Amino acid sequence: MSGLNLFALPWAIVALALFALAAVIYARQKASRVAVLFCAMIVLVAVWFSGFAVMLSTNDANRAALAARVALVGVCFLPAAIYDFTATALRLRSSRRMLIRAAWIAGAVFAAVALFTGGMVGGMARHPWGFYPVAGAVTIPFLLYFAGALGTQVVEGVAEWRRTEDEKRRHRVAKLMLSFAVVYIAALDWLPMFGVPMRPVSWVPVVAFMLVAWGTIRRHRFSSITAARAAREILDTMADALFVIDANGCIRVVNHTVHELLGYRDSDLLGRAIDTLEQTSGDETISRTLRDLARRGPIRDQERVLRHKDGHDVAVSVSISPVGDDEAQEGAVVIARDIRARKHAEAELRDAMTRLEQSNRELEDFAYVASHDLQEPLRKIQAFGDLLRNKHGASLDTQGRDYIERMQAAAKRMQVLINDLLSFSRVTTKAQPFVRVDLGEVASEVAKDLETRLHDSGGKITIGALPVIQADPLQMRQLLQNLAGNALKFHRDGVPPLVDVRGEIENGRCRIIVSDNGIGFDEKYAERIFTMFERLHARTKYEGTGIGLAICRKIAERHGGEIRAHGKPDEGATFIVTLPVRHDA
Amino acid sequence: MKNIDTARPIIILLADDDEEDRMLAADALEASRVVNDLRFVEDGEELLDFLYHRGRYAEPGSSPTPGLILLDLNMPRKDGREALREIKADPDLRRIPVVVLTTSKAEEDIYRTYDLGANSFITKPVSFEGLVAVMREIGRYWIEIVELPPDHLD
Repeated sequence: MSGLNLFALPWAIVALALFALAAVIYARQKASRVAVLFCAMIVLVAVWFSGFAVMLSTNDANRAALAARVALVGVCFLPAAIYDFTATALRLRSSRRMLIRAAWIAGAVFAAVALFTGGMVGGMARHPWGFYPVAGAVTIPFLLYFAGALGTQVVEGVAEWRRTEDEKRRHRVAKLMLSFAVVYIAALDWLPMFGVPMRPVSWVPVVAFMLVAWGTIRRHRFSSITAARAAREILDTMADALFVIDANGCIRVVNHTVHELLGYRDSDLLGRAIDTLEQTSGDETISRTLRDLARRGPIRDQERVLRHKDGHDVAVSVSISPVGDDEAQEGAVVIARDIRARKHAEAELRDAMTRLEQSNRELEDFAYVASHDLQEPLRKIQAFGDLLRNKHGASLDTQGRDYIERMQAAAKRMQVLINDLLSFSRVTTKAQPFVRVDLGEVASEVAKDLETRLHDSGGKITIGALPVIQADPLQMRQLLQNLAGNALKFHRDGVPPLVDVRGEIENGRCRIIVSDNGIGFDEKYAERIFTMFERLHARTKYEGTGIGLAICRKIAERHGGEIRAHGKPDEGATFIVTLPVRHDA
Repeated sequence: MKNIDTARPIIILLADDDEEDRMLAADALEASRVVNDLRFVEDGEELLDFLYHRGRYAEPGSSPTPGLILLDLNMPRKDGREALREIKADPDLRRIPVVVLTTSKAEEDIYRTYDLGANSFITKPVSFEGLVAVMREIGRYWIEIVELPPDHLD
C-alpha cells in the first residue's frame, strides 16, 4: 500500500466498524437467525469496503485489481443476504425458501466469476482519486439479477404492508423497507464502472443506514425467542384481558385485550385503581379480595361486571393470582374473560326452560280438563243406561236390552280411551326428574300388583337380576306394568303364561328384557305394534286400546333409550328396552 | 248404633249444577231406600242463600236447615270450594256435616277440601249401581250410625 490515500479512509474506517459490529452482534445473538443474517450482511459490506479501501489507496494496478475482485465478491452475495435477512425479519422465510436459495446460488456463481475471471472486473481504470474497476461482460447480467432481487424485495414488502392489519407490524415493515432504500443508494457506485465521471460514495448511505438502524438494533436486539419477548407476545395475543395491579389495587400493566374489552387506552388505565373499572360498588371489590389472597389462595372464575369506557356493562369471569412471595404480597395478576356470550346463552336457556315448563303445565291442565269434561257425558250414558235397564228393562225385549248393553260398552271403551290418552300425554307433562331407581324393586312391586291376574291364569313371573339406574320411578313402574301386563294378557289358550323379566348392563346402557310364552306375533309387525292404537287382534278377542306399547316407547325415548320387540307366532314374544344407566350432562 | 226409631229424618241438601246428576242422585237415594227430605240447589250462591234464608229463600220455612250437605265442587257462580270455606267459617253453619260428592279425583282437590274442613270426600261412581251403593252407605253412615249435632245447646 503506497501510503494512506485520504479518499480511501472512510471506507477503511467503516469496514473496520462493520467488522467490529458484526463480531459483537454475532457473539451476543448467534442463536438468532435474524442476527446471523444481519452479521452476514454487514460482513459482506465490510469485505466490499475493505476491498475498496485497499483498491483506492494502492498504486499497484494488479493489487488494485485483486482488491476490486475481492470487493465485488462481497457485493455479489449482498442481494441474496439482504433478501434472506428481510424475509426472515418479516417471518416470510418459510414461504420463500426456494427463492432465497436460488438467490444465494446465483450470488455464489457471480462471486466465483468475479473472483476468478475477468467477467465482473473487466479491467482497472486509473482515476485522479484512485483505481476503480471497469465493467466486465457479466456486469450487466449481475445488475439485472441485482435489480431483480431489489424489485422482488420491494414488491413483497409492499404486499406485506398492505396485507397486514396489525399497526405494529406495518410499522416494522415500513421501517425495514425505508432503511434498505437508504442502502440501495449505494448502488450509485456502479456508475463509475460504466464510465460515468463521478466518485464512489457508497460509504455515505451505509453509514446513514447504520445510524437509522441503530435505534432498531438497540431496541430489538435481534433477539429471537427470549423469555421476556415470549412473555410480551403471550400477553398481547391472549384472548383474555390481563391486568397487573400493585398492593393498593392500582393498575400497573395491561395487555392489548384490555383495550379491546373496555375501550380505554393505556394512558387512561395505568396508575388507576382497578376498582374504578367495576360496575357495582359492593363490598367485595377486586382490591378488597387482595387481602384474602394470601389466606384463600388464588381466586378462580369469579363473576363480576366491569364498565366499558362508553358506560355499558361487560360481564366477565375473573381470576386473581397473587404476585410476590409469602412475606410481602406485591400485587396481583387479574385476568378477566368476557362471558357476555355465555351469560346471554344462559339467559336464553333459562327462558326456554321456563317457557317449556309453562307449556307443559298448560298442556297438563288442558289434558286433565279435556279428559274430565269428555268423561262427563260418558258417565251419563252409563248411568241412564243402567236406569233404563233397571227400571224399564222389563218392557224391553232381549234385543232392546242388548242394544243398551252395546251402547254402554261403547261408552266404557271411550272412557278407557280418554284415560289412555291422558296417560300418554302425561309421560311428558308429569315427567319427574331422574333419580336412583332399583329396577328389581320396581319389578317386584309390579309382580305384586299383578298377583290376582297371575293367580287367575295360573301363570308365573320370574324376576332375574335387574340393575339400578337413573330414571323416572313412576314411569319405570308404568313401563314394566305395561310389558308384564301384556305378557299375561296375550297368553295362549290352555297354556299358563310364563313371564320372565331380567336385565343386563353393557357399555353404560341397561337392557331390560321381558319375555313370555304367549301367542307371540309375526316379526313383520315388530315396528307397527308400537304405533298408537295399532292392534294386531280384533277388539273382542283381547281388551285394550292398543296404547300400552306406545306409552312404553314414549317412556323409553324420554329417557334417551329405545324399545324393540321380537316374536314368533304361537311361541312367545320378547321386548327389549334399552336405557342409559346414567344421565349426567 | 242409634236406636232406629229415635233417628229422626233429616233434610239432605244436595248442591250440584248438573240437572241430570241431581236427578240421578234423587233416583239413587230412592233406590237405596234412604228416606229423607231431599232438597236441591244449583250452585254455591244458591246454597248459601238457602243456608242464610235469604234471596229466593227469604220466605220463612222455605229453607229448613239441613242435617247433611252433599256438595259438588265444580259449579258456576260460586263453586263448592268457596261455599265450603264460607260454611266452615261461619259459627252457625260449620257444624253441619258436608260430604263432598264430585266427579273429580284429583289429589289436590281431595287435600284442599279436607283442609277447608269437609267431613268426607267421595268421588262419584261411574255407574248408576255404584251411585246407588254410595247413597246407601251415605245414608247408613251419616243417618243411622253417626250422631248428628243438635240445633243448639240448652
